[in-house]
Amino acid sequence: MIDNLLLGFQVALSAETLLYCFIGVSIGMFIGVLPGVGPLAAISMLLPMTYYVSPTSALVMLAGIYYGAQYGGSVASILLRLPGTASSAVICLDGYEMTKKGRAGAALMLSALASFIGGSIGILLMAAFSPTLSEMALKFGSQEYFMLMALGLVAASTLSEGSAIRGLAMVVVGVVLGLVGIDLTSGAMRFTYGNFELMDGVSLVASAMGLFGLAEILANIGQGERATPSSKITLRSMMPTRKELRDSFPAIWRGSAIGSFFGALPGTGSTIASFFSYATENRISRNRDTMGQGAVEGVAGPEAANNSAAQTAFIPTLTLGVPGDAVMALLLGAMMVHGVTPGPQMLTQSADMFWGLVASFWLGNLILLVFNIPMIGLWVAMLRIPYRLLYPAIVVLIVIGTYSIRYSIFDVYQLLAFGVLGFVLRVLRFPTAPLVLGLVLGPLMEENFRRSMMLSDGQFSTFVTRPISCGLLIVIAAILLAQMLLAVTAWRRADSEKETSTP
Amino acid sequence: MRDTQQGGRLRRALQALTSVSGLGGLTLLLSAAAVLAQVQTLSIGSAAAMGPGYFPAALAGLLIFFGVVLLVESWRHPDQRVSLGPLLPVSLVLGSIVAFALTLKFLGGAIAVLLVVLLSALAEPRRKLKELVLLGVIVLALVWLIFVVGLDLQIAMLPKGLLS
Repeated sequence: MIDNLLLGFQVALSAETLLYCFIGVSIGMFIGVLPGVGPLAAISMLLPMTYYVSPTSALVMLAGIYYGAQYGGSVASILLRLPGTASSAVICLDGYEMTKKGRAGAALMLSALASFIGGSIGILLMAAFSPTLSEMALKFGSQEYFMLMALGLVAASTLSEGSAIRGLAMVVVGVVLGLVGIDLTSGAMRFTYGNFELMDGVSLVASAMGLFGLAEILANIGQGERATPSSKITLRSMMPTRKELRDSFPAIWRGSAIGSFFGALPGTGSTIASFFSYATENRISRNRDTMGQGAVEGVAGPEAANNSAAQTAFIPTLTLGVPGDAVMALLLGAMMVHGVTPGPQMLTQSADMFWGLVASFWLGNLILLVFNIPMIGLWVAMLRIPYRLLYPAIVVLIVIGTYSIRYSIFDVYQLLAFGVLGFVLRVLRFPTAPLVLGLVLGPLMEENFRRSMMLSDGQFSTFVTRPISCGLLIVIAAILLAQMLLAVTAWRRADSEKETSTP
Repeated sequence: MRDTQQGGRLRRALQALTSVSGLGGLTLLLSAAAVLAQVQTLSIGSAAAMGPGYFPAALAGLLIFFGVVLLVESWRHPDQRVSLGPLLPVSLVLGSIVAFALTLKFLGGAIAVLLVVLLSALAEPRRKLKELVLLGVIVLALVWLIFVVGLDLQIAMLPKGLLS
């Protein structure tokens, strides 16, 4: 592992990689600070720009946006009680209380520290477990891969927010959209309706920008201006007291453990991790009585959790090629565009890239800690940019970004179509993240399904007779069964409430 | 008596179909129909040697299943109405993208970008002219710096006639 990490730092410390790492984490921090622009939108907006740089730099930058946003997300939560990202929503509770008590600076400092420790632990686990996992995965056949992807899709669409049926339906729609274009096995055109520009399939960038970037703007315009921070943050006010530090550390360790666990599982990302960490602190921390009234544990724990989760989320994506959520799916798509296929072979075939990424993650976390604390004042000032000035610029960025990939007006129309689709889906309360997950995984799933059935001579039992595949199938069945039971009890409860309210 | 009961049922069914879940279910069924129409043109093959239509056909089956589940749900909660919200801002932002697509080739990048800024900015009420002009100039400068100078993008910024 030491040798590997040394190789990684060699790659990550090159001037080019370091520069893109810095750009990535800074943009991520910026995006994270601004409420209303999430990491998904930011990554999809910057995808086209990475087509001009080397694959390693591109990934370093895109990944930096993702974990940088986890750092930045807590700033608005603490100062304005507005979550910059979903995963920092729970930090509003105690973070904003600390601001009301005049401890905003300390809360920001502690959250940066907790983020750094949580992120570092996640990275260490990633370095430790990825090689073993990918060695195991080398023995996987197409049956196992198909089941892994199915598990990832089912878990991501049912465990996240909203109704499970709607999430699953969107996964299927995404998979269908993923099949658009030429079928590589038979050469047949599918869903192209005679349009040659659809031969290579639906554009990932256009779909992601339409569904996330445009959809976020459409949801936010006309909502009126948000609050702006009032207090000035000085460096002196950022020093936490001894007691605050002493109380934070146990929460940071617990949060990191919780985050690392949930991050590595498919479907449960940093948001669930941070909520779970908050619930844990609420129950067992020393200051549990003051939780919700500005307890440092309520900031440090969830913040460590969402950052460690952001790092361990890369484990299944890179070693198995199976992304756990939509952000990871976008990164996976970006890698495939650059000709890199994530999966167990990546650790042997592109070892420098893999370990370079791991090392850059840690450098990125260090940059976020060291550079961004003195810059807090700047981030706070950013919160004063009114949204009505910001969003037209974002629309321009989205449109030109989409067009620039292959200088295609048709892609701009694709963007438009996905913007409309995103709007309609939001009105009908369908989640859009599972759709993109399905879009990326769709072609891979079909390929592995086809190969499995070919190898087994058309016997569906092949998925049950192979032990690992069967185990995955049981997990999928268990998740679906649990969701069904939940739905049934919810219906029953609604019925009994109806009966009592209308006798 | 029976007539009013039937009328009530009919009204409830209509209400259910136009509720959030009802329209969602119908959308899924329509998508399934579109997929199946396409599958008609493809060969299905067999499980051991799948044609290009096999996997889409299976997906269409899943879509029908989810669509039916949502329709059942809508029968139980017919009261969840669809709310579109104000449509003007949405169509202005989407319209700004259409304007870009239509004008880029003829009027050049600069005008196309300005159109996007102006149209999408109008989605927010009570704009001041000075603010709009300033915003347009700043965004245009940023686009030029990032995409033309920085990334060396091949976009003609000026109208075609002016160059030749």
